[in-house]
Amino acid sequence: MTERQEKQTRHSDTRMVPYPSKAIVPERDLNVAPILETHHLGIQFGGLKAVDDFNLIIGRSEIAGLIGPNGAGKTTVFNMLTKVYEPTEGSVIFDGKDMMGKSIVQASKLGIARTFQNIRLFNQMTVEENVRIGLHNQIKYTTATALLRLPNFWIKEHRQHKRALELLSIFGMEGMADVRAGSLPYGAQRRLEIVRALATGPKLLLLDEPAAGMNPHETEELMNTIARIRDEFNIAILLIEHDMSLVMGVCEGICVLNFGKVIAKGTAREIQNNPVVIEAYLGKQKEG
Amino acid sequence: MDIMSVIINGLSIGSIYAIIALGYTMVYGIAKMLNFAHGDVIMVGAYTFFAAAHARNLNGPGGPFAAVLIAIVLCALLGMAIEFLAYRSLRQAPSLAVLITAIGVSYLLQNVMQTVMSLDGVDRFFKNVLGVVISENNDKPIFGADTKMITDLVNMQALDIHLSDTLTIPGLAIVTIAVNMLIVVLLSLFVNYTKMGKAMRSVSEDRSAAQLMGINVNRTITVTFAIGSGLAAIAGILYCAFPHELVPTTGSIPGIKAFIAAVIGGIGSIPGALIGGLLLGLVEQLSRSFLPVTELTDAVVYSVLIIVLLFRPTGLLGKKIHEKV
Amino acid sequence: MQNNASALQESVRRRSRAFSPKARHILYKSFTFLLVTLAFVIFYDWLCEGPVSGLFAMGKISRSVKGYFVPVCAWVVAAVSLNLVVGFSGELSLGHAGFMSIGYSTGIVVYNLLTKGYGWENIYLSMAVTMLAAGLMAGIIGFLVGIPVLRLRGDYLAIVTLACAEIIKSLLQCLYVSLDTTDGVRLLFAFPKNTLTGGTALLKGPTASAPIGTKGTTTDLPALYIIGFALVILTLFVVFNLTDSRTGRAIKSTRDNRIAAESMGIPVTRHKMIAFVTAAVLAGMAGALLANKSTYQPANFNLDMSIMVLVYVVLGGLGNVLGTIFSTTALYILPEELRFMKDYRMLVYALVLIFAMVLSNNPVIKGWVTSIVSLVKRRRKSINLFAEESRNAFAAGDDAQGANAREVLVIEDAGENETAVQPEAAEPDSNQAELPEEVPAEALAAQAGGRLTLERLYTADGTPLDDETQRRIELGLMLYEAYVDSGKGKKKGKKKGGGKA
Repeated sequence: MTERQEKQTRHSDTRMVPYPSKAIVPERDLNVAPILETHHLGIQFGGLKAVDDFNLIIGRSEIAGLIGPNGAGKTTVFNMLTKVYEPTEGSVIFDGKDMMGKSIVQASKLGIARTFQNIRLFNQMTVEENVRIGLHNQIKYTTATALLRLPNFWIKEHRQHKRALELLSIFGMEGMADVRAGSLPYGAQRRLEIVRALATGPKLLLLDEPAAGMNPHETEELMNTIARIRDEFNIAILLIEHDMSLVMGVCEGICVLNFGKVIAKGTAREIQNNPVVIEAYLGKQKEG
Repeated sequence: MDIMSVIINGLSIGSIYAIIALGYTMVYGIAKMLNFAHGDVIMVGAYTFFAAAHARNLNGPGGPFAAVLIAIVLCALLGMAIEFLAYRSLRQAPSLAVLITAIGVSYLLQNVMQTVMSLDGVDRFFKNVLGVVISENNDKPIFGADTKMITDLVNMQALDIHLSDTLTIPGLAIVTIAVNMLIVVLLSLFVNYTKMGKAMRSVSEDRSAAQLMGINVNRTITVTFAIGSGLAAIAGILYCAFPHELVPTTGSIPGIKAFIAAVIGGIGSIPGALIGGLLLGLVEQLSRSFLPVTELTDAVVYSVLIIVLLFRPTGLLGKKIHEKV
Repeated sequence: MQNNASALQESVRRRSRAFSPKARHILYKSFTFLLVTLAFVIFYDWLCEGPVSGLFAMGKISRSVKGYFVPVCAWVVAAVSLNLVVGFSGELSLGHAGFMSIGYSTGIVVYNLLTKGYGWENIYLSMAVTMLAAGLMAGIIGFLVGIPVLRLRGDYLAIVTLACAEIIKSLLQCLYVSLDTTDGVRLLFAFPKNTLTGGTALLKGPTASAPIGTKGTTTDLPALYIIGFALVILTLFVVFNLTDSRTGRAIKSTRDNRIAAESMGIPVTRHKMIAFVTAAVLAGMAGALLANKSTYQPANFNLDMSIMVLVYVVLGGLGNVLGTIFSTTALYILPEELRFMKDYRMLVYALVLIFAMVLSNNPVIKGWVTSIVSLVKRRRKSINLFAEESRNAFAAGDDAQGANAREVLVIEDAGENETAVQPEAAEPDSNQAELPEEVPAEALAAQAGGRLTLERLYTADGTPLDDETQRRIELGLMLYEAYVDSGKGKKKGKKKGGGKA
């Protein structure tokens, strides 16, 4: 516990931050500034308010969960955080910086990475190339260097290769580095997306339904891997997920969304027993 | 040149572009492909009209109207044949493959026409096999590789309206604009109020959903091509009557221009094709009159496209494409 | 047993990496360079009537073929550069002829300026500077065109490139340039009407421009051969070095998935611009090369020409440089050589085009081709995949021995335990729980729809397996892979949410 606290204080703000009582942030992060704060975040498409008054605070090394029935607006929240959509109201403060008006590329460079609900891999490129795209802004060299094949090119390429294999080994995928991404089985594709997102060196990792299509055994593996990623990379993770075992098993704070509005926030236990949440998922209990 | 005549000319040629653009826009909206060969169907229509109008023993009291009808029907059949033979098997193919195939069909049409017109004895074929005599008034053969003109066939001077000493609205212009308006109105009614029209609209929105609702997608697309190609025949006749020369490559340039017009108006939108066509025609005729050099006309016309797309990336009346993330 | 198992694992893996995808790619690039160099050497030698050409019996080929080398070089460069935009960047450009046109016109002006104006005599130097200028000019225009064009999507981008090429054509048709050497060297420009008097006319508006140098005489031709060859080599360098680099990967990612690329922090428009401008520069240089061989009017650089280059690219393969070289050469030379067909030439061309497209995109035919290809191809990666999958399956239970044992089980004890792998992989039409031993290997191959070939495998005590057993193992591995791929694999739990890959 102390070691983790040390890791935290090494690269983050150590002033005492008063968290609103409704914030669910793990104890170790209470002394440091949150990685993400949204205030009354909302977006309107024509007449439809897809997300309304969304408030969330995520601690710097927290694993948080965003759950809710289908169509509740969870991916829309992700899209707003990654600046795919520009919110029509409210604000997002990431790592102390206001994200208003920033582009997708800028958001990525600031340290937000994500995976997609419908897998968006670069299908015609190999597994390793997909990961190296993630490393684009981490290990760089100029186009001129590439055209002239200067020594820096070879050094950086080798470094990218090594780092890519390192990252792939989190999931044990380094052996399939040369396989075309489009021909991978479904589970491997999902894992590759996570590796690719991690390669960008993010401070906050957004996972959109990482366990979709996985059996309980794989889901448990994923749970451990997520916790391991958080510990080794020292990042915060926000998941959207329908698989309750994963969410309850690994998330420290959970936020429940329905019809674009937050209906509950709390720890796993609190959420499980919350009648509003149960109603949202299962419908009202019959009277009598 | 009087500005009024320029405007009338502009609306006139613009109407022709609009009719062609309707074919492009319908096929793109429903079959999701750029039918590069559409411009050459215009040329085939004009040639068919030319041949039919010269068919000595087929001309009844209808005069050239029968020839027009024959051209329309033939082109509609041609459009359906092209769709069936070349495009149908490529429904799932990447759009680049379909584009190249369309280009192939375009070249094919041009070259077949070229061959047919320069072959010896085509008129004998028609006479002996089909029982149709095709020749000039004085029995001079009409087939041959030279350029054709159809102005004498389509003489509308009787309809001229003389507004003043210097200004005459040519009868042809009136007919062209009127035909265009009629087509747009009929087509809009068809698309909005008939069962097939509804089928066309639903296939253009979501093909698989339409299939699941029991709509015969193949038939819908075939009808689309038939309508578009039939309209192309009309456009071909009017275009060559403008006047323009009739050679196998006649269809390329109006084809491209009409295509640009369809995009300006918003591809997939019928009123868009109308607006795009008229706008393009006006800009073209105005530039031609007022620019120092006619070669610059094209530069202006194509610049209009770029300017429109800069401000409205999907055309004037086009729909915004939303990609689900 | 375990030591032997891991050693076997290692040796199988080591041998199967002999031609890894990376090595294959390097071979591909080297082969391309070698082929181009060889073609140059043969043709140059033939031109200069040297010794080598005799070996290849070049005397039998008609002399007119000598005139093909330089234009083919130019068109190859044009096509490969277009492949950069269409194949690697994934954007359809229908205006490539526009950039060639700019290169062509710039080439004429600059070359005449240098040779007739400033009296440069060295053709290599003059052409080098000319091509640089032409490329630069085309690049600048490419950049200006790219600004509005590259923010559009798909079909709209294609249409606007077409429009831009037409605008360029239109403007060049109104451009008049002449060289005045009476009082010092001056270039005179007139636009849009020809108001020039005196001097040598270089660009004559809509009519054909003055050619470069002394067109077609053999004294110039050897030098042109070398220049053409140098340009092709330069293009290959640029395209290969660009696409196999960080920038190249970024460009390819914008082709595969735009939003994902942006989410990874890659500025999409900028990278598409890099591909677009590079292609424009190379096309400009190709245009300058063409100025040596033909007199074109600006009107010749039209949509038809853009489409011609596009056809070269598509038939050569998107993203396939070597293929593009082949297709360009073939499609340029064939129509010329088939002149006897004269009137029907274009007809045949059109039919071939349609058939090629329809046949190559027909799903039924694609199925046949895939099964033929898999008979020939070595699918080594599937071995590694298999190894990883089975290792992962047992890793959680830390059953390292189990993992190795399972693998060894399949490879070593082929005769007895092979059936342990096959039954679950049985296709729906086979109702047997276990396949009988006497099913011939060919029948299994037919069932699995292809073949996998491995290096010769060895048993634990070092003896090589016999042919029949080797074949059965290969088929077993392939069936297992198909089984895993079909999703009916080791997943024993229910599948939730998501769909299949």
